[in-house]
Amino acid sequence: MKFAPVSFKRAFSFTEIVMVALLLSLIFFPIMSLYQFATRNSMNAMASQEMIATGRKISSQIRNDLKNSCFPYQGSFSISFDDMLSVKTSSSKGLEGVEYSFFRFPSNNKTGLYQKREGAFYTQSLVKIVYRLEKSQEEPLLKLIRTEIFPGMPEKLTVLSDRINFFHIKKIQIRMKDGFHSGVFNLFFQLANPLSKIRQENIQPKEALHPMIIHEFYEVVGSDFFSLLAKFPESVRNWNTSLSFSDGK
Amino acid sequence: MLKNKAYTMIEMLLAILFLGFISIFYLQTNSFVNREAKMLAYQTIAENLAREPIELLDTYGYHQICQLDSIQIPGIKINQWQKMEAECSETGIERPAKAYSFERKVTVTKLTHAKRKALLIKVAVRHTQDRSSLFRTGEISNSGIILE
Repeated sequence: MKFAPVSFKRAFSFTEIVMVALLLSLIFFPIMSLYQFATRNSMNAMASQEMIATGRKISSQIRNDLKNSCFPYQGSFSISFDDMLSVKTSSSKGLEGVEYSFFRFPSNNKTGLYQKREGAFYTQSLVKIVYRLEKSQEEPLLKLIRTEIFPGMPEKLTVLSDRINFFHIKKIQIRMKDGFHSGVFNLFFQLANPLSKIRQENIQPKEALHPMIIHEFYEVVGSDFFSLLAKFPESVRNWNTSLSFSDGK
Repeated sequence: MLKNKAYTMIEMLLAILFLGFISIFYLQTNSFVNREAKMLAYQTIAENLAREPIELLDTYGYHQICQLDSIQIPGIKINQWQKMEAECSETGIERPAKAYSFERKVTVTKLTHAKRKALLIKVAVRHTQDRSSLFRTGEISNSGIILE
């Protein structure tokens, strides 16, 4: 009778297992920490890139609006730079409810749609632009809404961002010769991205001291219309008299 | 008879080397993403800093600028590197806090051609600390012409 050969395999000892576990933890703990750190940084960087792209888009839109800003003829040529931009502040809610409004030349005038005949003249209807800050779902951030109002057409509303942390358009006065004042607009805003939102999609929080990524944007832009008025205050302004705006109220 | 073979030293080293390559690749990708985000943020500020003096000088106009013997515009130093501030004390222009890491040089040249006069404005913006890696060319430049 033959028996199959028996091979004696030695099992791991407890000490061996403990040593292996210790060595593995020594290797993997720093690797995992590094991985987490790198992933968090990478997520923040991607969020930053997205915010910068949004900020540039908003900045470019407002820049275009302010560059083309103008003022309708209201029976007088006395326009000051202050008239170019109206600011409605909110008394109690900080930036919420703040409105910046001004007039601009229509952006698409190829078809003559915005020109209206009044008697012997053609008038150029202007567009009213309103930037308004409203409460956002992502508190304490705000929503920036752009409204385009053109007489006889429905209002066009665009939400530019719901992550505004700060926003203002400042009027910078410039003293010209003969005491005349011109000016430029100084746009400044902050976009914020709560890190908690990034973490929900990724990893646990660690930076309680820095709850948000904030990016700041600014622009200095002059109105072509007002710039001409300031440079040639004595010139005949028949081109100004054709500019009109009527909200139909 | 079965022979139990352990891992050799070479196998272990190769495994470590392989893991090392993967880690390096991963960290390099992360570093690239971070660097790109930082560069984009700096580029946005630098572009605006380069556009700002042209916008201001254009508002003043040719005659206002040229009526002075030496061109003196509040907040703008001509022909010299000027360190940027988060808020310009002379004009009140508000800029991002990171603007202090930049400096700017504005050059104004008078041009005359066939009885037409103009001013050529050249603006260069560079980072005060990181001149080589942030911008591939070392600085961002912009130019504009203001006609008489």
